[in-house]
Amino acid sequence: MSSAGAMAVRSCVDAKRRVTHFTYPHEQELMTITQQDVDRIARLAYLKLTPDQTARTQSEFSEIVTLIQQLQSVSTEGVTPMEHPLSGHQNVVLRLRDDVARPAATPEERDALMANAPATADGLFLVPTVIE
Amino acid sequence: MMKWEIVIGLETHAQLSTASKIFSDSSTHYGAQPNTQANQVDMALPGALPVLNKGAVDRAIRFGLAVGAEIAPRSVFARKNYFYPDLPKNYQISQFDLPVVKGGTVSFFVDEQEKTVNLTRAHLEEDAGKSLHENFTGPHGESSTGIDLNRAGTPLLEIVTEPEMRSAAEAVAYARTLHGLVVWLGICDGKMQEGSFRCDANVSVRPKGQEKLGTRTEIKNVNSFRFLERAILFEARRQIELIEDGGTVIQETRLYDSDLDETRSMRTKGDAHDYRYFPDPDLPPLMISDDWIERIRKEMPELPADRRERFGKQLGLSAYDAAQLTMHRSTADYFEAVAKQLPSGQAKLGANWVLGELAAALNREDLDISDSPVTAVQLATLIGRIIDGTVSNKMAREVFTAMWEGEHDRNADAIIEARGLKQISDAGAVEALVDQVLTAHPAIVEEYRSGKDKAFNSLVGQVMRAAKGKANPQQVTDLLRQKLDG
Amino acid sequence: MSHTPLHAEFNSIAALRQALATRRVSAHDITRSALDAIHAHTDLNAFLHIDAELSLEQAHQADQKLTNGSDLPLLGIPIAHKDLLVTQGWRTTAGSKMLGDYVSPFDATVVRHLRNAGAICLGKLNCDAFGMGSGNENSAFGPVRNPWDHSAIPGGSSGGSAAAVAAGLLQGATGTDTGGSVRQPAAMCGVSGIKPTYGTVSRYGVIASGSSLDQVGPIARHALDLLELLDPISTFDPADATSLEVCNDAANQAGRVRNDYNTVRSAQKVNGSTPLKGLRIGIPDEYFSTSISPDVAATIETALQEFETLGAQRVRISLPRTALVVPVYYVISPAESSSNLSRFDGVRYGYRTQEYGDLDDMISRSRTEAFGDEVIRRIMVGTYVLSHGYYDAYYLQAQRLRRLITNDFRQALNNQCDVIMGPVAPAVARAIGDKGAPTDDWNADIFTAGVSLAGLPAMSIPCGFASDRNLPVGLQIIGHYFSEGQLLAIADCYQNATDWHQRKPESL
Repeated sequence: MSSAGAMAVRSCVDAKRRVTHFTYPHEQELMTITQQDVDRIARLAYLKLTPDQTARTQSEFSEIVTLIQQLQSVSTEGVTPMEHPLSGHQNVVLRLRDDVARPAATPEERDALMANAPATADGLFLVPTVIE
Repeated sequence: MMKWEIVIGLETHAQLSTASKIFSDSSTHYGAQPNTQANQVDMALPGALPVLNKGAVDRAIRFGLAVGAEIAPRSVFARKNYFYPDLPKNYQISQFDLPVVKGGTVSFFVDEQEKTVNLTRAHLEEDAGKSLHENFTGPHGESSTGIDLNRAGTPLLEIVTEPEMRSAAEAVAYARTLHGLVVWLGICDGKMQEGSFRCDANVSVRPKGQEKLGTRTEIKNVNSFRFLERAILFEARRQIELIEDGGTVIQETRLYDSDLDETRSMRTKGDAHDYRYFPDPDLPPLMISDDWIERIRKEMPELPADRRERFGKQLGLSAYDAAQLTMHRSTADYFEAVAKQLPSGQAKLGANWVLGELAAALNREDLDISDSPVTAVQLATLIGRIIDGTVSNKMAREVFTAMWEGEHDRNADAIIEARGLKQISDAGAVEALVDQVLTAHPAIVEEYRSGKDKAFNSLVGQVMRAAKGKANPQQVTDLLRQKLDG
Repeated sequence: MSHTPLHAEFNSIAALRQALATRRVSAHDITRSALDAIHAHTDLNAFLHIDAELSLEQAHQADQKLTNGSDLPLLGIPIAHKDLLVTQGWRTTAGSKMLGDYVSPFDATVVRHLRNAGAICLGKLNCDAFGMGSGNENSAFGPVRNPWDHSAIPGGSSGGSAAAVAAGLLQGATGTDTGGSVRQPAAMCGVSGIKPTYGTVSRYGVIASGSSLDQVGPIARHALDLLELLDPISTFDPADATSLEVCNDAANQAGRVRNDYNTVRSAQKVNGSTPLKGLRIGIPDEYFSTSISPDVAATIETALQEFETLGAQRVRISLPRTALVVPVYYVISPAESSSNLSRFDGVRYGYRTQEYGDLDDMISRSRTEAFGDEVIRRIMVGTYVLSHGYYDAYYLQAQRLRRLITNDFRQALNNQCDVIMGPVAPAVARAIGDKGAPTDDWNADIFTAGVSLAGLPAMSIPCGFASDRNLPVGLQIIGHYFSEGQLLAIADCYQNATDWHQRKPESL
């Protein structure tokens, strides 16, 4: 990022108005991503990284986190999050549909929807058994 | 010996009675062939998107109004992310920060004591599909489970209480009342055997007097009130024993095994509880206008609470009886139809019969009151015969049984006539019977004269037997007193 | 090839449509010609799935309709779809091994609209897996080659779409744009592309990448063709809850964009030789103070001067939070993607690994084996920024900053200028395989991603060449919400006065 851009950003920061949820980078140790972090994220995301992948991810992550940590340099007190990009321009509300049901599928229609499944039996999707 | 307090909060999932699912137009009809009521959206095929069903929101508003809750003018759908094969998107569309309903109360009776529980919130979410563990074999010969997504996407209203219940009995009373309410409102069919109404109990214990809550466990998916009670009792006992033995309660999810009458820890998965909630970008915020709420309010049936009040004021019923009668709209409707036929001031008798004999008969045959073979008018006719003295209460029970079985087209008068059950009310006839008994049982008379009050009841009994039950007990009692006490 | 193939003889959709209507050529011959061209250029690797029979069947039906005098707007016009749009008949892979054999039982709404308008589908176009990438090197099926320089990337993620258009294989293609994935490959391949206002084109049937950012956008050789492809698909879709019913005061339906275009174009013609008189073009200070390569900057400058010659006026503006665009985008987009991609678990469709222990193992292995590095990377980042303890600091903060970034754009467009112009990318297309750190590519999205965060419409049009490899440079034109018609009219005006859009790669 150029210094001109960064200067523009810093001029927005008012040190007195702080968001209370987290501390600024200069107030904490620089984030180091540990292997445990990578393992935890991979578990949540149902990914099984090889040791190589884990090591690579760990080093990439540190760089990525440095990139996204720039977010924390700006105070956003009083700013509402923007989920729909047009919510600032016009009133975006959830549109509803009438409670009308379509008829049940015939077995052929059902099979067409399930045609890409790796394993099925008796109209059911099959997965290795989960023991509870 | 330490005194313990049990703390219980309930989370109930009520399937809403919409025709189509919450985010797709597939039917919600129960019992269809596997995966025939699961379209692209329900199967989470690539590119499919959710669209919200207005009927689900209507029902949520109706519930909120009925419990006196706040309906959120703006509420947000959020994704609850976790992997499970019956959850096709591997996230559930639910509500997190901004639920559609906030607060509200539910009142119920436990042992004739009224209790009010505060609701934390109620929110809309989608149901998951079903896993069928039926020994399927997978492509590599591995033991496999079948997944049916017919249920995936059915609208649920999750109703959460504050942890204010202090016994399993309270929890069950609350659950029954809530069940009655959602069926009453017409927002849920309440068929627990079909999974329409499922309760999770959060249970913890703490020493009596301690303010800090103990660690709680969650007992999931108990689908009958009886099992709910047993599960809570077991879990509370387990926790108390554990702590008294020096152990600590772990926060975890447990399942109730009805065969062994115990709760068991579910497989915990460490970070499995990091659901990473965030607002669903596929669904803008839900706005509910005052107009919409008004429209729903106008369409609301008379609420159980209002009927209870009316039963108390207009019909003179006790709060407890009124509560029992308004557990289910069908019961309240039936009772009211009975009461309408009775002379004024006799509603209590009607209540006794509806809550007593009729309820017992219905329970015995596992029938809903709406399927009762004896109609309200028919029952009212029978009760009328008690009131006018034609039959005694005891004889009336026999008539009722005959009506239940369908005798004489369920015509009370015809049955009374045919079985000769008319009460003997002719004073002379009764007096003759009393004289007969007094003469025949001098020993009991002597016992009574020597101070044994119980002997009096024995004499009453003898007269009733001699009358083959057809004497008016009050008349008998009065006459005996007259003759014995002079 | 030494002669121009039949389908490439026509400079515009309008011209081809005319020839078809007068039966000077048949849809069958046009389609056949295009299929042959595709086969002659498999080295570009632009296409992932062709089904000649299906295409020719569509052409046959088109010919019947043409004989009956049907006036469907795109009748007989050959197009193709980016492989993120699901299609019945043709496989949809999303550029990933995860969906290598997947055939959708339904069509994306956009696919249906274009088919109903009479267009002929030639097949599915290569792209970065799940739309993640800016060079089409993240496709499981090999990189796409830039027709201007086969050793260079075509841009991404709609690399196949842009390359196919640039190589003259078809009249137009659909792409999807999440953070620049229509505009950037259009720029790198010297063709035109447009990302419409968020919510104007249906996302139903588009394999979701960043749900609050994705829009389908057409790629073609010039603005007039973009208009023909955009108008029929710019319409409200009840199956998409983020689809808008109204655009300011106008209904979101076919005809709106065309009407606006006609209105603006008529007004321009009144101004004679300075058709863009009165148009204020905002030039953000921050765009030119970042590290963009000098010859790209010079090419953009020349283009801006051309606009001034046409009567427009330059206005200096500031978009103060430009430096935050990339971090904000790369928190929100991966977060949404990480959740959107959870459904790919090998249970109901998609790749399932061969060897596994239990269910969790099966799912984890399948995903890891099939997704590819960039997809895995973004899923990891997305999961991280949504996870417990980080949500407030990253995701929530990013959504707040998103509002501030959007306000920057709105402020400029409301008060200071009518459109904003600048480069699409900091440099021309780099060589295939010449990758630095993953974040290098991410940083290059600085000009395009902000527009996506704000949901604004934007175009890329070719405006020259740069670098010693003489590769295309694209100019970005950003408009206010729902101003697609105006953007196309402005671009058409420029394209009437210049010929960059008519240049063709030497190899063809």
